[in-house]
Amino acid sequence: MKIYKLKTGYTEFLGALLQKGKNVIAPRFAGRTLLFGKIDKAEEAVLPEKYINTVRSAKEFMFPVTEAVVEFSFRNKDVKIHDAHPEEDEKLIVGLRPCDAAAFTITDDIFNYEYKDEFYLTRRRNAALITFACESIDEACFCTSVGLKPDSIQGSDILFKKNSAGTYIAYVNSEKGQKVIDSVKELFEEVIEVVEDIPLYRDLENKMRSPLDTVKIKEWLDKNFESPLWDEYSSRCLGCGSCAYLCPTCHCFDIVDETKYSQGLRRKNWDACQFPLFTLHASGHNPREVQSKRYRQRVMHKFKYYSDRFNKTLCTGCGRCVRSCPVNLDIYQVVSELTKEETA
Amino acid sequence: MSNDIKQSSEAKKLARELLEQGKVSAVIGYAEGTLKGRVQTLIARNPLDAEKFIFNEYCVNNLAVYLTKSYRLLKSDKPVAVFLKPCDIRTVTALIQEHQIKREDIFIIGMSCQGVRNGNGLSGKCRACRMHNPQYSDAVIGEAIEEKEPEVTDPFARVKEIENMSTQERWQFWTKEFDKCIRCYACRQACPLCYCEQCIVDKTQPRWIESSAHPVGNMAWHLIRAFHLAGRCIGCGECDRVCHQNIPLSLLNMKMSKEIFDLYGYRSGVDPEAKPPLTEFKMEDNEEFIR
Repeated sequence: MKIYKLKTGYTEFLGALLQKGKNVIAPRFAGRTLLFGKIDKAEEAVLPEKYINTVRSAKEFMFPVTEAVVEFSFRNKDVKIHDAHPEEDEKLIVGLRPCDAAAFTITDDIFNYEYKDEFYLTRRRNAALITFACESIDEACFCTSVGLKPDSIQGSDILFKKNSAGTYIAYVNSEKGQKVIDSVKELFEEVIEVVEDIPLYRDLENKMRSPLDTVKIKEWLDKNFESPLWDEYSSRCLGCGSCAYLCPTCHCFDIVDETKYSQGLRRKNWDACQFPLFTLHASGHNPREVQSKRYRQRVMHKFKYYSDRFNKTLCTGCGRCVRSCPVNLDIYQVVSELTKEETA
Repeated sequence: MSNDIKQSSEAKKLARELLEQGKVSAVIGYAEGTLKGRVQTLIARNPLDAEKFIFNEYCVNNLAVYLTKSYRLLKSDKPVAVFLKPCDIRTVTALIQEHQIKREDIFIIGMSCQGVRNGNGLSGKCRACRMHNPQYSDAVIGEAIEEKEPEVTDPFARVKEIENMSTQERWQFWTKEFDKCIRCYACRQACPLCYCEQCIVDKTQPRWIESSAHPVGNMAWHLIRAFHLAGRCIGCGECDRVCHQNIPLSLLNMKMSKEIFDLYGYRSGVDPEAKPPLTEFKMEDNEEFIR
């Protein structure tokens, strides 16, 4: 793994990538909302020291909010069906945080499981993740609870950290990352000597909410599918999809056919386990007919089911669900409190 | 003693008494949140839980949403008590007018209110607020507040600005806003008047509104939602507050409120005796707009 010093600032780095004709995705304002988006000018991108994280994660660049998977048309009984394919262009996703980069290493497992999701996997192959370590955190952040840190490299092709002199140091973590550095080599200088441990990141780590015991949480969940506490906690939940839609690891989708006259598209859309419709059967039966069952599903999937199947927690502690919940139903608080209860 | 602390301790005391005396099955109120400037909902069923209740300037949520969303809470032989700010009480009025709840099933704990904050500043709805003292309450917490002229005298000022745009500009404005929508339905779920057991967007046979987050689906969703709330929205602004994409959804509802007021002189949730215009027919109804 090579280490480089960036000789310029962030904007110049983006400018150089754009100049080379790269497709750059970075955090920029859409109205008042900080979102990832394609940038045409380096100045559009918001500097990494100016934000904690984007409102939406970067997952939509592998798994879009909505996308066509099949195209169809019909005339009388003559039906034509074609597979849709994901775009093949290369993307550089720049300015994401370690929690969002790590999220892809978690969702890779499910999209690569029994069914290989061509859409996710193609985009994933063609995207380089260029992460900038956190320079600030807020009270919602809890990445240290799930094995991450403000400067984790997991999932990043390149991780940029700022040294105490304020210079960006690039840690290359993959071939893909090396290719990005090589494409704008004039901006970088290879670092041979040992790089200092930067106190800022350790400070942030220490300031974070105290780590959760995910092993203990899982043990509790293994025994408490029927706990009355689900009803207690979920009675506050309004059943919206904010938590799931903003989550970098939530990956559930719905398939719908949308038709106009004699042609249409089969689309794959984000969906959330908090909606009653999510599990409504064609028969009319709904195995999760009340919010307590739906809320339990969310917690179980994050801290038990995903762990049973892939030995990973389906959470990166990015805190988006905590920030966005209309009623401050805080998953960190919920799982910390649940495990204190001995209701096995 | 500061106002917050005084109001909080009065609220705790009342909640505890109501639960101890078995007058209500539950008390829905606010408790300390986990983030700065945020409060949590607390649904207390035993007197001990009542100790956690608070009331302060961050109590922006309209708790009346729980009266329809957690409908099973009301299926008890006792009423449910709920902390409601003067503006939130309009929700109960509107829900009674629409026969969704009965007055005797709700114990209104009216909170006198100086205005609440949403994030850093005074919430938008409070800037034009003229109601600081709770009406129609079973108990009032807090001292009477002198009603004064609000900071914003015309609540429809922003709506008028948008009305004055050209059709093209307006189309661009909304297209750009709706483009951010990811269909998480937080607007619907946080809305105390969006209580349909099955929302039109969830109907699939036939599908009236495309559920995909593309321009057509998003535009259809937000416009139909605004129509469904016409003359019903009480302006609590929860849709705006919960939209993490910052889409100014309440502008659509305000526009509809303005239309209904201009046509029928009706404001939702203000007068429990008034009949909602869209559920009533009068010979003298304004019909100039039917062409």
